Amino acid sequence: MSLPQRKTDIGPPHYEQFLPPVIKKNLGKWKYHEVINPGLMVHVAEGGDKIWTVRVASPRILSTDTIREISDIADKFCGGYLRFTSRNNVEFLISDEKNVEPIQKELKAKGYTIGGIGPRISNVIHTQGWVHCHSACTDASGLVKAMMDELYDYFTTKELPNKVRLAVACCVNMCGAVH
Amino acid sequence: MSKKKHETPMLDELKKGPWPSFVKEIEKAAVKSETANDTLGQVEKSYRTRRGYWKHGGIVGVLGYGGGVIGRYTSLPEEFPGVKFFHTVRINQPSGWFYTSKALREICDIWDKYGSGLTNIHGSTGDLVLLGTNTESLEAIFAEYSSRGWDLGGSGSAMRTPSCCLGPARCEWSNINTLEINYQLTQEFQDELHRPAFPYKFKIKTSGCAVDCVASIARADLSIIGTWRGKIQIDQSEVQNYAKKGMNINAEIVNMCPTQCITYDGKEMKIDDAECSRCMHCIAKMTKALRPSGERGATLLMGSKAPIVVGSLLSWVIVPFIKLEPPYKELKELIRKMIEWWDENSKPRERIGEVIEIKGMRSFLEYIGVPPSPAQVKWPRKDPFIFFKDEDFEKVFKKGKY
Repeated sequence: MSLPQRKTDIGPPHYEQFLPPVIKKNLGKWKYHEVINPGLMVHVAEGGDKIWTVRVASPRILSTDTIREISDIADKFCGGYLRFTSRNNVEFLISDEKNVEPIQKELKAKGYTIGGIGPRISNVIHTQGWVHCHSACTDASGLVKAMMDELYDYFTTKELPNKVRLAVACCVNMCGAVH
Repeated sequence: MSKKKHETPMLDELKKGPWPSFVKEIEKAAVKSETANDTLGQVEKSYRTRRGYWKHGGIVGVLGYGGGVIGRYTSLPEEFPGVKFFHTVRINQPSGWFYTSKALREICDIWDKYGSGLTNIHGSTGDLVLLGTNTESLEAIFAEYSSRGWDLGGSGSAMRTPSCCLGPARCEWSNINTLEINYQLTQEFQDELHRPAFPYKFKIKTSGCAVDCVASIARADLSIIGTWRGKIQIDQSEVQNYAKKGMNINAEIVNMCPTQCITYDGKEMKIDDAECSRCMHCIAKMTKALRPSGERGATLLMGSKAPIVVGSLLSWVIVPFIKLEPPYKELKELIRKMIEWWDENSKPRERIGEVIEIKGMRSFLEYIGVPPSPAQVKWPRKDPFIFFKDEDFEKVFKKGKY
């Protein structure tokens, strides 16, 4: 089996190729945004263009099967454009208003957890734990799962006085400094 | 197709409940991968015995690079042969974590060919992390990804993969082009990123404003945070609209202002811009009414780190204001000077923030050529932050003042 020619020190692909056309057009020209529901917001540009974002929770450890499923949903409603947040949520970027309701319906039907926007508990940043780390003093993913099962409503519906950011580090290395 | 090899009653508990389950993800991958299958078995055992079984290290990587791959092995290879090797590959993410479905499928197709099918999207530093492959596959993985435009991220005592908020792509608050700054810095420091030559890790994170969505102030040796120099423009009619919609402006905005520089009499809002610390609270709450104006740029802060080795730190101001426009020459040169000073003055495993505390701000500021300013004082009246040198006293004596 022959392998393609390797390249070194090329750095990451340039982000521009991954931006939806409405974002490319309005880069740096956004005016305001509104949170429509805990998992949906709309950003409005100076010229009136709009982009809708639907946010869903992720367990961070994702199988390739799930990534493909997410990609299929992005193809169906978002022209294939999506992103991930610094707290590991998935954000579907919707340029066409007529897709806003159907994507939420489909995500709910497929069992995705929509929410995390606004004064709520967003996804939990965490370390590797026993799934992968040599210095873990405890597990991380399991702890987060058990905790968020309890706090689920604070991601999907309930409001708090401000945003709440939770993080779990399974040793004092705090890899990635999980703030 | 591989059948489930291990009984996992404890992990099965974590498939219940409404929050997305990582166990289900590992199970999905286990259908195709022995590695993922034995991961399940080993994690279940860890739950039973309450300890981990991974070993770290070994020199693994790809030719010409000193990082990007982290060696991992099970200490129980006979019980879990599928995870005899479980190396991690860090793929440098695009700025702002934007993808297309096509790009994600490409990443998945290669990974399924050579690895466990498990990923972390993303690691806390920002990389797209591929979990679990063996030593023989590493060169092939690198050839497949790099030939398609994906490079490895940083690991070890090196420049770590820089990351940033989405900035101008979908945010009205961003004062700088975080995406481009992040991309340009990543390209500038490719050698430092791939070939560890530093005393310890060095992280850069860029946020467009003080809301700091990527928490750069808490988890980057260099935190670049967008800010402005002009006044906050006030649209009084929009202020009235917020009031009409039920916002208690005095309670939610005026009284929350950390420098108490806002007044509101029920009709008109006024801001004493000279007192404003540009914290973003009022702008974030009343975006339609309040906007920054004038010169845009960033504040450079340094030093944040996790507890290891001598205690955690938050970044503090080094450069109160810097203009950031392509090709970011001044910023790049400044970073090189910071790293040089750190390299000259530190012991192994000392982060730059610790070395600044040990050696003092004076030595650091003189080397990087940034003048001292009150904005750099972290704890007023606690530490003598700027130390005098003998020459300083001599100058004063010569003038005959004392």
